[in-house]
Amino acid sequence: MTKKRICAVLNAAMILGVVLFLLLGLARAILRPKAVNDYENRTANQLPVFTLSGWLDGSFQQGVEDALGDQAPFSVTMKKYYNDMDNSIKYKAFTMVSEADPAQMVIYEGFRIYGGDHIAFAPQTWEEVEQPLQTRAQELSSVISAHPETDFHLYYIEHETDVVFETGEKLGIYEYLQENLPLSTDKMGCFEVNDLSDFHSRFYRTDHHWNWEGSYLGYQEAAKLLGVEPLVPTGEPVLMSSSFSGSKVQLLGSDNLFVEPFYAYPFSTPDMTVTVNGEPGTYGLQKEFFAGTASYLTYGSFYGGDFGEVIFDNGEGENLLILGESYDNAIVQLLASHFGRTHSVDLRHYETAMGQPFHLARYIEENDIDRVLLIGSNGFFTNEAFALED
Amino acid sequence: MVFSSQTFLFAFLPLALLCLLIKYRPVQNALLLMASLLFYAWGEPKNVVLMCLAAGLAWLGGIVEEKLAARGKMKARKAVYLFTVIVILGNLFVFKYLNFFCENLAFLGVSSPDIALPIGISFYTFQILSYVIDLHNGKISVQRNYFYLLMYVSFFPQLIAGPIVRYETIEREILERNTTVSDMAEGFRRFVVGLAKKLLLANQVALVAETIYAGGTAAYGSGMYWLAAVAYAMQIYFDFSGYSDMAIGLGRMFGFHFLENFNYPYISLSVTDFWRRWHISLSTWFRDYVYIPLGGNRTSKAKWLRNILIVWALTGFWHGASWNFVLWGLYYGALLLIEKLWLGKYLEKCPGVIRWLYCAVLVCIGWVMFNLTDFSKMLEALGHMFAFRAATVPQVDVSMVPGLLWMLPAAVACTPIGKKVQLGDGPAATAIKNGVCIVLFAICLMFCISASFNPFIYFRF
Repeated sequence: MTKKRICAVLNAAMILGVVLFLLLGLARAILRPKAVNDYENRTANQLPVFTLSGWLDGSFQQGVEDALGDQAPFSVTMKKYYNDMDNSIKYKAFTMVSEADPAQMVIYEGFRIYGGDHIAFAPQTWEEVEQPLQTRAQELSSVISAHPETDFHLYYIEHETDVVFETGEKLGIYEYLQENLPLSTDKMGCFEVNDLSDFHSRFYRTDHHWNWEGSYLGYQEAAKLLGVEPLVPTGEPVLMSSSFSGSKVQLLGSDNLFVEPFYAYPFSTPDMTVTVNGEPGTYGLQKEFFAGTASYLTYGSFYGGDFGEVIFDNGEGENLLILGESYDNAIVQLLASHFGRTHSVDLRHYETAMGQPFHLARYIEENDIDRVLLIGSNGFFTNEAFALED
Repeated sequence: MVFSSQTFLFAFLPLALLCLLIKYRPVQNALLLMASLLFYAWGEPKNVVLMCLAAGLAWLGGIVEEKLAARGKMKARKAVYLFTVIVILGNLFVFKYLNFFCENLAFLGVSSPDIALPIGISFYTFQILSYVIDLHNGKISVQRNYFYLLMYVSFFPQLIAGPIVRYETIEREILERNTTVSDMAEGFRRFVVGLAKKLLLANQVALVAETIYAGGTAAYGSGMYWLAAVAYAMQIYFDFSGYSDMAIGLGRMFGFHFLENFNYPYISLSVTDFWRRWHISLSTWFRDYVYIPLGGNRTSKAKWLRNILIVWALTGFWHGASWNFVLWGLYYGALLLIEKLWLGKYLEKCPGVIRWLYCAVLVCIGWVMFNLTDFSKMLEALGHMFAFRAATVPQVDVSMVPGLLWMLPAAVACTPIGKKVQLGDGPAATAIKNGVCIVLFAICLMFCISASFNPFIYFRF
């Protein structure tokens, strides 16, 4: 074989190999798409069905791009390698700064890291929340006023986006709600975060939720707000994992770099019948984790995830409706232990899960609800996904 | 659709390459034309019609001009020519500049029509104009087949971000071209080099400038603002030259030979030299179709000065409908005049390092004007660069560290050092080049796919 021929073969092999590899990605997306993207903890994007309107508004093209990002050969491996490489560089730089000056706040991919390991979202400004908060407050006012027979309570959970740690300046969402909702002060409560010390002690370092200390404190305050005596833990906090990586770390794709211990208080709660999205089920794996029989530890796997509707039936007593978000996952079973039946509704998922939109008036009537607890962070009181229809 | 998207890499490119299996040229051209229209319609589903109409007008104008010339009706021919040029330029004006003019005339009560800018309109308009003008001037022969002219205008490798290919460059290759495996491999290697410039260098160093400008003057001192200017200079070079490399490489894979668009502009020793090396297809377009027709330098000094300033104001304006681009263009016009009239002769006597530093600093300042379209931010940035101030509330953002590290290979890639490595054409050299190319392509795919990382942070499918 001549040298020229060998070169031609080498070149042809390269072109053919590349074309086949690329076509493999396309073929997989069309013929055998994977259903789940484990690495990103979500369903894998699939090729969209072509429609002219989708083409014209660009959603079809975006759908194809998203699908190929998930279905391309070795896409998970490539994303993982990239994230590991990228984060190892940033983490090295971050540790160098933190070791030199532990008090220095470091910005890391939009997050702020305090004290060398506590990851926080940047604080929000009043301009960002004013309009949606106004809308939600008006809507809640009219809902509350329309149900004088129902006992409404509100518990607002502050977190790092509610306060500028450097200046102590606060967003003031709770104060706005106090001024603009037709609820007396004894029906409203606030989980306060005033400074870094509050944030450090009450929130996970790698997850956006409150930790065992924070959620227990929140439960105590919410229970008092509802006029019930809170349960007391049966022992000291138990270490569930020493290498927990929460949601913020998942967003960064750096779960092997930022880790923290995950503790939980043991409680003795009554046996309850649980219905999830209309079907008998269980909520969270606390018992399994305490028994050491569960392994994949996340905030959601431990306490329970975000479902459209979860009902805890505890026998006789008043019926409570909790309208909230993922913060209440950690305390909903504890609260349920004080009521006959507790309905926990997440408005983001209700319609999809239950096959009908959520109407408060109908729900109260059908389920004989005595009391309603509105509980959440600023997302719950500013995001349209939590809009409440009567 | 952009070359660095997953849709292009995993779907469009391999399917388009399958067109090469069809050896019968008219069918292959028809497939390439359909592929090109699909490529454009992917991002501009409605405005693809606009591009086809503009090409149609140029085609029709050419046919009519030819017929009028054959009948000796030269005035009518010129009228058709002027009409064609005005309508094509009018199309560009309406879709690119009308909003800008209306916004600037708001004090007269004029409201902006809020017309969306079609992707690539500046590039394809200049390509169409080069056909119309060259045809009128007798440099090329008329293309009677509308679809071939449309293929020239819409050919996907150069459609969105250039280079501005003249019709005369590929006139012959539309009908007669020979695509060998060697051409395809050479083109693919060039494409991968461009892809790496875009994904590994431009996108990464972009983080440095973005982070610093987002932090503001309170968070970052003057030194960091100079760093941001250098990072942006690298970003725009590798972004644009990377795209040109990809276009040239893709063209080569399909049997077309486009002219070079960049020639290591950051090794320039003067601003004049810089513009001989930067976006060559645009500067030569303005030279041939604006500067020389205006009289060039073969006229009075006053007219020559006017010609230079007109060309550079238009060059700036071509880049975007905003005053900062006009200022940027005039800045270069003024610098070129200063060099030509006075500074040039002194510069030549200076050591190379001084000349390089002089040019690099001026180019960086130019990129600050180009980058920051908000005038107040631009002035603040330039003021901060020359005030030599420290940050008042220093900010440590480690997100830019990978970008900073990428600036080192980027600095090397700005020089022609790599060109000096000559492996030859033998089997061993081909194996090495292909091996490096495949590894680089795999790394590019990793960077491309990783951009779609979008984890769901709650526990629930």
